Amino acid sequence: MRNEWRGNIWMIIELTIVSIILWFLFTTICTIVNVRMQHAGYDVNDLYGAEIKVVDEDSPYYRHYDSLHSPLTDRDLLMAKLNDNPYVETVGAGSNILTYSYNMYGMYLCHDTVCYQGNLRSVTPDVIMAYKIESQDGKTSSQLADIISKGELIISRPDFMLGNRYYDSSLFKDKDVYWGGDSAIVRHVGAVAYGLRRSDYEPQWGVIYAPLPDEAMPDQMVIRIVHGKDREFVESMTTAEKRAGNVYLSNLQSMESRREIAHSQYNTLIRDYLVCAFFLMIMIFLGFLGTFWFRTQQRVDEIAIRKVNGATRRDIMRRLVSESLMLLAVSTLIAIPVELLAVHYGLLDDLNVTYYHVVTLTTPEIYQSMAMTVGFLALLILAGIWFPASKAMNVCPAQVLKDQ
Amino acid sequence: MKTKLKQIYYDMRHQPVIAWVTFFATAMSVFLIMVIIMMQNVKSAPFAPESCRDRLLLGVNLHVEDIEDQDINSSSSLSSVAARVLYDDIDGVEKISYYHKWMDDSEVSVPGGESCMAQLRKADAAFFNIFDYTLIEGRYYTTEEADALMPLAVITETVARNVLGDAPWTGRDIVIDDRQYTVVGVVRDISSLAMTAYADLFVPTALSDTEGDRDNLLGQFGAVMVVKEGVDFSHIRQQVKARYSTLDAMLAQSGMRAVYHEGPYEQEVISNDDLYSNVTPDLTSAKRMHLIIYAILLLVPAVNLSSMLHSRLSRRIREIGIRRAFGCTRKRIIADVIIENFIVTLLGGAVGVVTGVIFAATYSGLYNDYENFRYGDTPVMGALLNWQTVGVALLVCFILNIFSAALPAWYASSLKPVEALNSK
Repeated sequence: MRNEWRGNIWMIIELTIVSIILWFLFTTICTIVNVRMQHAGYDVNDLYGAEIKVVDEDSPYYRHYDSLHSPLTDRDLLMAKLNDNPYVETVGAGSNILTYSYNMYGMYLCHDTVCYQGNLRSVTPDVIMAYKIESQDGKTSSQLADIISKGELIISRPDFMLGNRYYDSSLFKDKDVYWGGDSAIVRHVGAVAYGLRRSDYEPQWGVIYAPLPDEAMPDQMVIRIVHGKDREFVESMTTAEKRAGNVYLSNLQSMESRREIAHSQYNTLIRDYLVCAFFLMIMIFLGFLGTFWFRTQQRVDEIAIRKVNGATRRDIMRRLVSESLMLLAVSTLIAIPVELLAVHYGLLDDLNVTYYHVVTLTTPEIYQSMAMTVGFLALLILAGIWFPASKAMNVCPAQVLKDQ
Repeated sequence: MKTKLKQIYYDMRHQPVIAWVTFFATAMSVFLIMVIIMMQNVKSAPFAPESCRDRLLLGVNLHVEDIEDQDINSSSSLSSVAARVLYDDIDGVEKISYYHKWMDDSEVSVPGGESCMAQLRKADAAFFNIFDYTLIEGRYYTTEEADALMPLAVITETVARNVLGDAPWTGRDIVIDDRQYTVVGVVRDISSLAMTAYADLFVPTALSDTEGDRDNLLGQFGAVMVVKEGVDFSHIRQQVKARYSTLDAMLAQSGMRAVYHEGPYEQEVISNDDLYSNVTPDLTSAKRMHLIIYAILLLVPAVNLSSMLHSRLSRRIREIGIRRAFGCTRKRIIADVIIENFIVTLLGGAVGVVTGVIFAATYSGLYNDYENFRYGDTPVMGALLNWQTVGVALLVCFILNIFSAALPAWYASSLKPVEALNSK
């Protein structure tokens, strides 16, 4: 190994650089994937979302109302029609109730001197039932729906705080709060439940579920259908079925389809990082293949002498493998302090690796990524030296020594 | 040169594994760098209908915050009033158009027919003066028609075929979200890679249309401008910045103020940032990130190639020793090694560039981070490949070569002839 010190230094430099970059990429991917794998607390399978629109008064298709009818009676008629659909289980309406929509219409609630900020979602109790929203304080979805029916608020427990004035949900549970900080409007927080997220790749934001007033026109709808009846449901939703008087449903899409659109930028980011990681790993593979190919050719005499002196094929292989893994060990010893320093000085946050996730030395992802990096590099190094090492194992000592 | 080519051929024949590994690593590195550069090019290079990207500025956001508590804030696109205050009659602007920043997912049908979804953009008549769409039937709506908010529509060929069937299409009625419009023009389908110009349908709007306004200052409008030849973007920005005092005066009673975020933005900013309405775009950070990526893509293969070149040269130590013994200078040895390596790098680079261009031109999934991206949309060749791209490809090969060959070449040249001849 000492004879090859120049080549080894190159390999160590390359391995160190690649280790650090791979660790960075894996940390990012692990963080994103861990957020994605978090328990959502609601169920979007068999769920459809749509916008509720009202025909404009100046449209030729507008139907004028008598004293008994209004857009709200049309809304009720449309909901009743959907509830009568044999493929529909639950229909809920509200405002800003669609997950996978990047709306951040916010509201804040204050209790004493502390405030809670969240994405405001105005819901009917059926929205809670359609999403099967789970409580974070031991209540069932039906109990949560009852809380909304009583006119109380439900808030979520966010993974991070926005700004310095906003506090965790636990301070507000079962408390009277000022709506938007206005002491004239007092509401009661009845429960803490999982919030509908804008994307599965975003951490849990603050979310405020507030009852949609009866006299308010909802602009979105969620429909839970009977499991496995997607095709039948879509076929049943003709233009006539989606309309009642001047109120109609637009852009009816499954949540899966909405999810695909909402996740495209994250999927692209992960794809790009994986391509980058793949490129770097190929480089390591090629580097070891090339260098060890040359090295075994150079050391053919030494290998022959070792074999003459009783070294087995396995010994030769073991020697080359241990040499390459030694290089990896040295580079890992250099890389790890650099990586820990990067975390300590907040470099990962500066590079926007983690969305509202502060990475510290106690974050498990950074250690998972270190292990993954070493594991992948070890595998690639073994793959890279396998071919040259096999050639070296097959060296015929008599022939080599005769050539000498 | 003939000798050098012979030398390379000899090397490749006698050390095929190392030669092919070198070649493949170079090609792969150049391929990746070129793909990233071309992805960036598509975002900023002019192509129809956004042929004016070099002189394009976009003013689409407004951020309003409480003077005492910045956590209380509101931001979005502009109301008709704010659009007028900030962007009307700016010196140095050749053309300006007001349009709705966000497109609507709209249902389109013939009256009484089944509907299909399409992306609707509300824009004034000047929008069609700024972007060079290909009109295949009819005409665009006029300024007078747009100001009167007449129910007219310009649609793309695909929407026309899907909704109306066979041509002729103009003069026929369509229903968009329960409003009836008459088709006045049909344009060739617009690539979703044209970030600002893209839509499936256009209907008239004007600053007199306050339907989309959220309040006095926030709404749905954006302004797209083409500046006059030779006018600096900063000249436009200074005027816009000065106009924020008017907005502040309007907001004074409510205890709020308007926050200036360095707008309006040129194409480079539009393409490199998500343009959040309450954040100043950080182009420096985006550029730094790109530089880091390029550096990684160059540095790692360079270290790799350098190590392998070092190995290859170790085989040629005696040859170098003989050349040195016969009077060859150190400079000549260094030049020979670098030139030989550059030829190999160029060969690998050429393969990388060609495969990169084919990949970027055919794989539309590369561009799926675009808002409103539509699968199947691939860029025109002009946006991918131009003299600038070729120049960058050559530069990449050159840098890769210098990075990888400089040190081994210096090492080879510094060998003493006696030591070199004595080595095995």
